[in-house]
Amino acid sequence: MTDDELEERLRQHFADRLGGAMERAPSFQSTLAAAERRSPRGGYARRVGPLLVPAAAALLVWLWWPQSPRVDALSSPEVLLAELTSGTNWQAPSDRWLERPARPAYLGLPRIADGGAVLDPPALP
Amino acid sequence: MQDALENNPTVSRRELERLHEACFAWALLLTDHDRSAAEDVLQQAYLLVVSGRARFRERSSLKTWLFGVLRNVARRAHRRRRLYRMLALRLDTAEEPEEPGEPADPRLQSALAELPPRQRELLGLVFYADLSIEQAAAVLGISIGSARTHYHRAKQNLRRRLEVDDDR
Repeated sequence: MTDDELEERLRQHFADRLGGAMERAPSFQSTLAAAERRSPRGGYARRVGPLLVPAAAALLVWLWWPQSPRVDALSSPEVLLAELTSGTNWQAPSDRWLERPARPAYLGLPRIADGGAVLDPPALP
Repeated sequence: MQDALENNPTVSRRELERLHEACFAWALLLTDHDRSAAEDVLQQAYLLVVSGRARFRERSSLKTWLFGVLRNVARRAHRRRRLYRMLALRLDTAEEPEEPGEPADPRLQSALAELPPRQRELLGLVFYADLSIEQAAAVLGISIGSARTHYHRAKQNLRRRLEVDDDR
């Protein structure tokens, strides 16, 4: 089959295949009117979506922060009220980092708190 | 422009109407001749154009740009349908696709169906929509070199498949 024959066959095929369907094609006016009646998909998600990530991050930080008065406040509305009214029990974020538990010794890794000394790894059984 | 769309000032309503049939044909090709899916794709594409969410910046012809919008909408719709089917929700597949009828050239039809989607789309754009390979490349979002390669491979594949059928 030559190139020209194949191309002609393709043209004919597409014309036959789409010709019948095109006779029953919706009119431009009706399609446009239907499009204008539709509400844009995902409109709500598009408006709210960008707020979700920062909101989730803020919530995670708020929940994760250890020994924060805010954690206490979760279990006790009285503490929350006291915190909100006094505002004196706030601990700076840097304090929290210093109080984090040390790396487990069994990893045998140096700890800055130990002056960088490598701890002995546990003896093998 | 007299009858320009409010949110898409570089697109005139008359131009859009002139391209309507070609757009529907392209939507049919993209949806594998599923008429209701093609209408849905066309409506969504028109909504994007009318609302200005898809903005024509005159970097290509209106037809090329519009075909690109239709292709993107069809691909999104296809992915959504596939996801629904995977989740067995079948929200979008309540209606069975309309049978397009017996093709005039069934061997060519089955050979076309076996081609990779991009090659099939390229042949449709060139042989039905009368686009040049350069314009088809713009619609498909690929380079001209890549489009030429796909075009020649598509024809080679078709010829091979048709010849295998002839030998049987």
